Amino acid sequence: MNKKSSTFLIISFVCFCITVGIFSYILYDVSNQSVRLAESRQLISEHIAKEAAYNSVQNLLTSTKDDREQIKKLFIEEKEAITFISDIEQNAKIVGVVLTTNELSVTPSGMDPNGVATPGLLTVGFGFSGSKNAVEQFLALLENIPYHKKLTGVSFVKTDTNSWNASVTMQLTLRYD
Amino acid sequence: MIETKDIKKMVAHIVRRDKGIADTNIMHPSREWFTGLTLAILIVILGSWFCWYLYSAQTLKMQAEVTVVESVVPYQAVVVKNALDLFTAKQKRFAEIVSGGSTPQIPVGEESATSTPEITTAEPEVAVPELIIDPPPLFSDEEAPSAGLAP
Repeated sequence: MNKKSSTFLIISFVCFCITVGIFSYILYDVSNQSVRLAESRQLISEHIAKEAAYNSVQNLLTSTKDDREQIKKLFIEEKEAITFISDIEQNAKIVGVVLTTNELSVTPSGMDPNGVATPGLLTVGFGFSGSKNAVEQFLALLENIPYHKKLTGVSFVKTDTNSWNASVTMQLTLRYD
Repeated sequence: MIETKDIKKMVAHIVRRDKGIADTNIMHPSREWFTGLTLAILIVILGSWFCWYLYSAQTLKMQAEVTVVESVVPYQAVVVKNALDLFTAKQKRFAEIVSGGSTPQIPVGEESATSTPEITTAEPEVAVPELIIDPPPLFSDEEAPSAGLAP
């Protein structure tokens, strides 16, 4: 092998090494970029999923606005307690019973021992007297009060031939915004 | 008798005869050109295959890594409809009672003629089902409702 051939061989080897180095660097860079691309695609996918969930919630809020307005009216607020008592007294006069409010207390919302949130409760106790028909009618009225509630106690006492005393205790679920 | 040197002479004669006519040309441009061209084509084919393999592997890797988590917004439409129907019926019944409608029969026990008052405790006639309310208040943008009873 003469000198010229050796020179060409060395130059070829150097070019080969440079080419392999450039190729390796490009391969390494492409690998890194692919990892970044995968992370970016994952982020974009999560963003798209969140956006879809947001739009879904928005559509749900829009489509259920009327229902929510109606449901909201089924729960009493603490500041409405006096108005509620006044309305009940007004209705008692209409029905024809003598009404007395025996109990009015508020149980604030909190957490039960299992860690579940419990709503606040407005506990109201009524005692009323009147004819049997009036007492029955007023009891039916209390049962059908358009609020979310629970009757916790009902009792009747016949005091006279056509006179009855009754008492009702109920718990109304308070609304919290 | 044939000796070893005779055998070597015979082998050397045969081998020398197979060489044929010696090639006197030092350069073979056509042969080297086609050899180089063949090697270049092989390198190009192998490189293309390797690049295609890398591309496919990376594409499959990316397709396998991307997972889209679709979240479903829970909304119990049936429960809401049942609750609204129930309370609509209650409101209707409430309005009937206030306006002097009929009274349902409530089991108050046997009416006694004795002078001793009899105490009877009765369960409500209509069993009011529990509403299932999701605790988090989602509706902070709503207006305050009107106070009082809605007949």
